[in-house]
Amino acid sequence: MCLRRLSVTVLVALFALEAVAAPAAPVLVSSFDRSNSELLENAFKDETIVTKPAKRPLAPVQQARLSYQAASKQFIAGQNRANVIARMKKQQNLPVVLQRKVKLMSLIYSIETGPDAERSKNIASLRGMLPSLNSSERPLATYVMQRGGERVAIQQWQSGKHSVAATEYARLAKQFDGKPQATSFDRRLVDIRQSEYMKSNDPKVYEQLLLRMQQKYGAAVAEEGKAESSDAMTKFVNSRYQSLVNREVQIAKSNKADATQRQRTIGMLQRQMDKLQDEQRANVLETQADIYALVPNHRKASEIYLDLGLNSKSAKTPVYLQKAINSQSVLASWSSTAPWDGYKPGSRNDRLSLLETYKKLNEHKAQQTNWQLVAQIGWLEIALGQPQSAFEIWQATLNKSTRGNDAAQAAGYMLTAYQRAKRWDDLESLSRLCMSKNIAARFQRQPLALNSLLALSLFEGGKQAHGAQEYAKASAKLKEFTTNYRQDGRRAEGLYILASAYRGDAKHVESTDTLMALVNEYPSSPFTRNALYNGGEWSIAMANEEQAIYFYQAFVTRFSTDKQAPQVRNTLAELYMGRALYAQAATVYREQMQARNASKEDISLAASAILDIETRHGSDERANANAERMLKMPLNDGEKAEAYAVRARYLEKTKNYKGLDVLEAQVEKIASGAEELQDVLGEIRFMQAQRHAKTANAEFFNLALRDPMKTLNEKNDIFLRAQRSYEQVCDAGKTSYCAPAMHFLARMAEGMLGNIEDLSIAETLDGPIVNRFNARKREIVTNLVRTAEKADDRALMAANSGRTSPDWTTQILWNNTSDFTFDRIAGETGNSYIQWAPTTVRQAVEE
Amino acid sequence: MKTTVLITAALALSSCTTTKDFLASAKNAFKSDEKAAIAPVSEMGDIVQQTGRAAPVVSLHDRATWIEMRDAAKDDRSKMYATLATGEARVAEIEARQVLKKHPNDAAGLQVLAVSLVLQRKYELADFYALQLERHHAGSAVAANVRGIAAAMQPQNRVKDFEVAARFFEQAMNASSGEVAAGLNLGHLQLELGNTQAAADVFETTRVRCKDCKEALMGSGIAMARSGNHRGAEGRFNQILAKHPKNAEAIYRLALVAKYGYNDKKTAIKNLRTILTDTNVSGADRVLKQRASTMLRALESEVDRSSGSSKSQIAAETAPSSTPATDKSDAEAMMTGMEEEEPAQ
Repeated sequence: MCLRRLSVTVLVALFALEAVAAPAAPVLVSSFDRSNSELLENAFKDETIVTKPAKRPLAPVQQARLSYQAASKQFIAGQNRANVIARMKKQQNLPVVLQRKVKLMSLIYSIETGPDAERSKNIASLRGMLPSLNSSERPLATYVMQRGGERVAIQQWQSGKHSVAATEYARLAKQFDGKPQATSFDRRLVDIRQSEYMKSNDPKVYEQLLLRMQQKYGAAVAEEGKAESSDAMTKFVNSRYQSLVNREVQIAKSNKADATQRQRTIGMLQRQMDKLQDEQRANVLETQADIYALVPNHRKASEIYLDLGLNSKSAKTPVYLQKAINSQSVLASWSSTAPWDGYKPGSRNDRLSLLETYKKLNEHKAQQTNWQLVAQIGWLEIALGQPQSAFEIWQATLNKSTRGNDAAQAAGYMLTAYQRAKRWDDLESLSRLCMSKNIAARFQRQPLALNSLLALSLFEGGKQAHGAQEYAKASAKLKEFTTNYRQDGRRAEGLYILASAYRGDAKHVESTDTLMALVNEYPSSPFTRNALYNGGEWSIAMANEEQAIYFYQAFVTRFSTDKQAPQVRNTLAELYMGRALYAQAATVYREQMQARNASKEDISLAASAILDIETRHGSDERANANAERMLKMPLNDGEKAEAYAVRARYLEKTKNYKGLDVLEAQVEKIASGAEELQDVLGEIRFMQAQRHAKTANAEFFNLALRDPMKTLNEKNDIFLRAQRSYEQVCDAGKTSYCAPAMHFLARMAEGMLGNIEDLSIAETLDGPIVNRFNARKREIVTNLVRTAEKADDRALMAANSGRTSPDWTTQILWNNTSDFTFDRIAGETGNSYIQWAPTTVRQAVEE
Repeated sequence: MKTTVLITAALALSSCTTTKDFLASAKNAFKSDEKAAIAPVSEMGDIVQQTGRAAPVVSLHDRATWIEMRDAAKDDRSKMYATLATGEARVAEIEARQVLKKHPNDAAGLQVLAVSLVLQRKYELADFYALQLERHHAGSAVAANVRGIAAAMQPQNRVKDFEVAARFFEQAMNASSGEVAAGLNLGHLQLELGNTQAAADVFETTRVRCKDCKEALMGSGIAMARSGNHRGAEGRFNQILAKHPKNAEAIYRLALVAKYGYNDKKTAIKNLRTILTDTNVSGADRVLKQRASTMLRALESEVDRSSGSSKSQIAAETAPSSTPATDKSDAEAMMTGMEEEEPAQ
């Protein structure tokens, strides 16, 4: 709309300029017309009456006068003036007065109609005649001279001598000042100056003239009687002035104009503006700013545009602001379109100003999203080191509008920036926005893979949140990542961190489940080792034994040489033991023994543990084999003792008594000073004693009672051998087997006592034989009673010293004191006491 | 108000006292209506249980109250504790595992899990979790006690294994001045090993800690009797009878003191006959009655012998089951555990 109006204005101005630039053939402001006949009559009328004498020819003078009178009438009437003048010039006998008139006539005619080249000379001649002219002639002469002057002026004008013409007309106008003709002369003067300006393109004189005219006629408008003509003249002058301005503006706006021309136009506009009301000044200011911009003086131009844009309430405000932006962009070395491919260095202050203007314009167009503006604002913010502000406005605008190249570029730029700045949350939310609104984000003309960016943001954002101990956030991101991007190369790591995040977020079941998924789906990933290790540790903490076993077993299988493997094996074995999976525990301990990375302590512990497992829950054969292996290793006394004990039990069980004898001898050699080994020696000897007792009992019943005395002594000898065996148990040193040895010795003595008492001799035999038998029997019985009592005392003493097992103690006490342990807490059938209270874990609960 | 149960609790252990702040926080764990306004967690007090006995040895509440507390519990831990106190060890184990799933290595969860496993005689697994408790919450008396129990309960134990168990029990006692169970375990273990003086010392400490609880008095009396302090032993058994007038074992032990301490066969026979004939006697299970019977016959035969009867006659007429072989088989049978239990205190 505004553009159309502007175009119309320009066309009108052009039309006006055309009219002035090619004026029609100039005409005299005044001419010989009927209104001038009075001057002619006054000047050339000869009122002398010529009377013709009768029949006498007129005197030549009279004849000449009459001719003149006739000729003057023709001349005044405008009839064939050239002939009239030629005839009069030839006329002789004219009086001097008439000769002068003819001459005047000739001059006038020459001036009026003669060649331009002679006009000035004729006028000069006429001017020379003036003193000789009478009062009736002089007005005509003066008039003609004026006309002649005007003609000269016109001639000068036409010949391009505008100043001369203008001077003449100015003189004429001045001469006729106050008279109606003055206006015409002024108009002609304006035309001349306009013509001159059109030719020279220098508006200075013309403008000054117009300004003077404006002043002159503007003031005259108020004068009585001059209002009408002055008003018309004023309109004329104003119109001309406007045309001048329009033309100057047109010139100034043309590409050919130079700075001087433009500065001149600016000055002209400024002078024009000074005479305008405020409301009329906007267009002129805009034009002036336009020309400033062309000068180029963008600073001034932008100042004006901004002033207009910020203070004008017209609908053109956006135009003004846009023009201000154009100029400011030049100052700020800023492109007119958003510099998605980069921008050049420029003035910070100018860019700040430009940014503000863009913002103003954007505010003005707030009702509709303009991505071009927003893109520029954002880029300027970036150039000014405020990318966050840029991203805020871009982000906010993206939420409203996603159409267009700028939106896609802005999204792409932000996505790339977020990625490079590792702002994963922002990258995530923007990626989601782009995906949900189908924004084809681009960066440096290349389309971005939004899905990959979302995956990246979820993965890295999850890691970042995990690092910041924001576990809920981390687990949410990584959960989405690992669920939706199953083919992603980072998924194994994602699962690993997700497990840790779950753990931090107190979602422990999910945590170990995730580790399980990791180790199953990525058995060879770099995270599998830690996943297995953590999975085991965390599962144990959750009392999830099956899962812990799975993780730890996989760990020691796959990472058997890992530095943590020995510790894991120990824990795994403990767990197997806890679950009563003894075979598996033993297997793990065996692996520990063979592991190159296991320490001596670990190996020793494993060996002892295997021995313990096999002894308590496994096979004697394997226990023995392990004991044999152990005995080849460097062991402490306790370990040696355990190994020897296992060996001894195995030998005893397999009835390898020779081997047991050898073992006893071996242990005997090293037992002194080592309590553990003394106990083993006691145990071996106890085995031997029990075997001897058993043999003795068998022998008792195998003895035939052919010779009572012999049988008595043989039984006694058998008992004494068994007794020595039992007593050797206690001789082993500090051993827990002394008490049972003594207990069994006592019981054996008691049995023997009954057996001996049952022996009798026939009273029919010789008295000495019978007496010897009875004496020997009493002696043996006495010895057996003493042995039994002594053995029981020793057993009781040993039991009361705490150096025997609860089972033996119970038997010994019951046997000796009727004291029975009703409430056993030890052993497989014991009932132990357990105490617990919430208060004992109060602190933990509070934590 | 069920809180009166607290006041009337028969045995209040010294460690039951709690701080006010914990009391305040724990009160929220239960419903606030009058019926369910039972003791909060902190007021549960220490609970002593014995494997093989459904009812706790020491508890501030009866089972019904614990069940109410469990039903009213608002958090997993309170519920778990109350469940354990009801004696439902398997359920407590499940609840403890649930707590540990939510709070890995949680002290309360590990404690209840270990205890519940002990009560189910899953000693090796209990030992494993006690070890975890020890590793993650050092200084736990419960952990040390459980580990001691696990060591003592292993099959085919040797003396050295019991010594290991004894060290764990000592560790438990040292860990908490309110620890009673470990004291009872250690005292009994020392008795079983024959360390009467050590047992006497442990039971004395435990007796003070549990404010003359029956179990400590009994252990103390047995240890005194075995070490020859018959007067002291008599005093301990009479203390038990003062609170539990018809306690069978106390009466039996007094019979032993009478016989072996004072050679007062008459009193011994009287006590043994009371066990065998008085229907009001409590805790007289099959084993104890068999032992009492055996001893009674032995005493009566001695009395008879002293009055002229021959040993063989007495043996033939009055004590067919008192032969060593029979005693040995009885002992083996009796060591499988107590078949009858005393009512809860």
